[in-house]
Amino acid sequence: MLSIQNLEAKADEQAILKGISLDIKPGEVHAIMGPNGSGKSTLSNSLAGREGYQVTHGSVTYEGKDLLAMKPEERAREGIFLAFQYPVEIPGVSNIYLLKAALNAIRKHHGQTEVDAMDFLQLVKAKIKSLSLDEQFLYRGVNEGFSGGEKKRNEILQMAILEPRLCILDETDSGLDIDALKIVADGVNALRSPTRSFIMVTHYQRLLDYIKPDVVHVLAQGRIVKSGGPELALELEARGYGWIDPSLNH
Amino acid sequence: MDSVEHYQAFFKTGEGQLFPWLEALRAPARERFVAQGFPNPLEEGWRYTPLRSLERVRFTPAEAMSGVPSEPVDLELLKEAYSVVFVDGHYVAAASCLEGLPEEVQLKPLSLALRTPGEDLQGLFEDTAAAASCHRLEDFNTALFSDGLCLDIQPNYRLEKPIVVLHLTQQAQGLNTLQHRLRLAKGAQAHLIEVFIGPNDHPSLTTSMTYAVMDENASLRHVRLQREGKASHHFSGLRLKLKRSARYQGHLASLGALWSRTEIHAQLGSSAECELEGLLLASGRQHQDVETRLDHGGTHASSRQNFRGIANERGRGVFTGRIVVDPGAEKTDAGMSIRNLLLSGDAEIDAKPQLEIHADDVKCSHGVTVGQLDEEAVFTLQSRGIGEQEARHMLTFAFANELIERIDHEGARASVRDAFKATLPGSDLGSEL
Repeated sequence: MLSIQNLEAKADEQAILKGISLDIKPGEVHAIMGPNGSGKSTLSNSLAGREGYQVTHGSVTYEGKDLLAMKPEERAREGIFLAFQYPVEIPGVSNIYLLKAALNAIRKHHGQTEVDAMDFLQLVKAKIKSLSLDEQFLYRGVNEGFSGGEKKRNEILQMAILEPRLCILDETDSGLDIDALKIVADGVNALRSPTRSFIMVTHYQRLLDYIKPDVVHVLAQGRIVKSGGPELALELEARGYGWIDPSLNH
Repeated sequence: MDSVEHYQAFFKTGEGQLFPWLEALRAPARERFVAQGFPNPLEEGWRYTPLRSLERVRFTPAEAMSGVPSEPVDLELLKEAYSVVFVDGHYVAAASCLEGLPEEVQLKPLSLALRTPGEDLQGLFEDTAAAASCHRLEDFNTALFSDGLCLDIQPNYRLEKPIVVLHLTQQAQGLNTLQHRLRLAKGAQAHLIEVFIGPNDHPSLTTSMTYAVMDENASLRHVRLQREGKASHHFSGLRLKLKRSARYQGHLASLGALWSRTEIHAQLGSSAECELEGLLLASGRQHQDVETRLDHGGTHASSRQNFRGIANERGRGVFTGRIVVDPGAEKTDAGMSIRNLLLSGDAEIDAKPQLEIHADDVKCSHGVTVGQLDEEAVFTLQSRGIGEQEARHMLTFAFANELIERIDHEGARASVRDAFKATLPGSDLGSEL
């Protein structure tokens, strides 16, 4: 589904990623762990096409297409979804409007007609309930005045409605208490399928107790320094990142 | 012929015999205008809003039309309301509906009132009169006005149904000059919705002055939607006297016209409340000017001003907001916020808040921002599949919609929202944002 070859990227003119290679197959969940400053967010943002992140070397092939040649909206329409670490507030644009506009933009891209208003409302109401969010939430401005937990649940709601093929979760667990973490994890687990893949970027092992990864990668100083099964995350939790790279012990 | 000579020919004279008080109002205004002409950019208050383009055209008052307007009067708003329709500055009875007005409410077009003997017009004009004319565009209006709305509501009467006033321009180079007089007695309530509409293909000039007095505890909700044609000139002014505990809530949307200036001046008595919200949009080569002046004359009065401006292409916006707190007006609470969005490098918005405080125990605040769209928000929308242009339109609309949402009358809110969407260049937005 996704093949990253020797990716090098800059953020704000500073070299952050120094040659990353990664292969993700349909249905797989990959966790990317690493200390602060290791390049986790640069990787997520480069994949989503955010301005300010400049790929200087390497290639990213998504479903046989050159991902890096696509605009952010094209990547989204092709099925890539980035759940933000810090979702922004968009006052004046209601949640329901954003969901509908986004879904229709994706449907249009695939030659489908606009979603029926009634069907759409039913779909959204069902999803919102499973994320323990109030219905009123739909008519409020996107993330406007939401708590940290609500913002993260809102990202999962968008993901559930848009049904992407590749979900990138950027530190989705940060700022969540244990109850909110469970709700978010349940939301993600409900979306797991043999055709949908996940990249979970996280600092802590905690999230992986609830969403079981197939592969764990450790990112340090812009490179993947170790890859392994779920047990790698547990070992990291127990021994710290310094166990992999003594220079990280500080 | 210079422009003053041109307009002199249309001055209303010869009313002196029947209405000496009206002649007494018009004569000094006429003299000032003849002596000095239109305001010039060297004068305070007109520096950013020159009248050159207005003076270049010789506008001519239209004859009163008979029958109904040829343009369809689309507004949903007109249903479920008392309606007063002016076409080219003249009242059109056939398009208006004043049926079922209670006897506590006097609502008449001025042209009709002047033909009805025994009307207490003089009292209405005197009660609502402003202390002095502010400038020669106001004088121009006073010298020339030919019609308008006279509204007089008896004490404690609450008029639930809104009054919708539609100003429609049809004639090319037409000059529409209206003056409205509103008097709300103690405890009276009303809801006024004004809409200015005109065609895009030829210039016209509309000047509309409203003088209102609101007695103790009276309350007025007032929506003004200016969506004049793209080649037109528009000036409207409101002079408001709020007595003790009177309450005025105004929503302005200034979206149309090539050149537009809206003035809102209010005098606040003790415990009076004045809430002003306004949205302006300047695209193409549009010039949008809003000027407010609130005089806090009594204690415990409060005022809130919340304006947003959007300038696109070569559009130009001008805000002047002045708050004056008189000596002794203790416990005044006045707040003003002006937020602006510049969508192009050639667009410009000048915002000038002015506070003049002569009392000690007061709370006054003002804030002005001029900025661009939040790029983080643009990316968020793109990352959900929405194209960049559409994302920008959506966020621009959202910026305006936050104010539009605050209009409590559903029909008025929908009219303003639709007009905004239609005016926002290149937009193709869905309905329920």
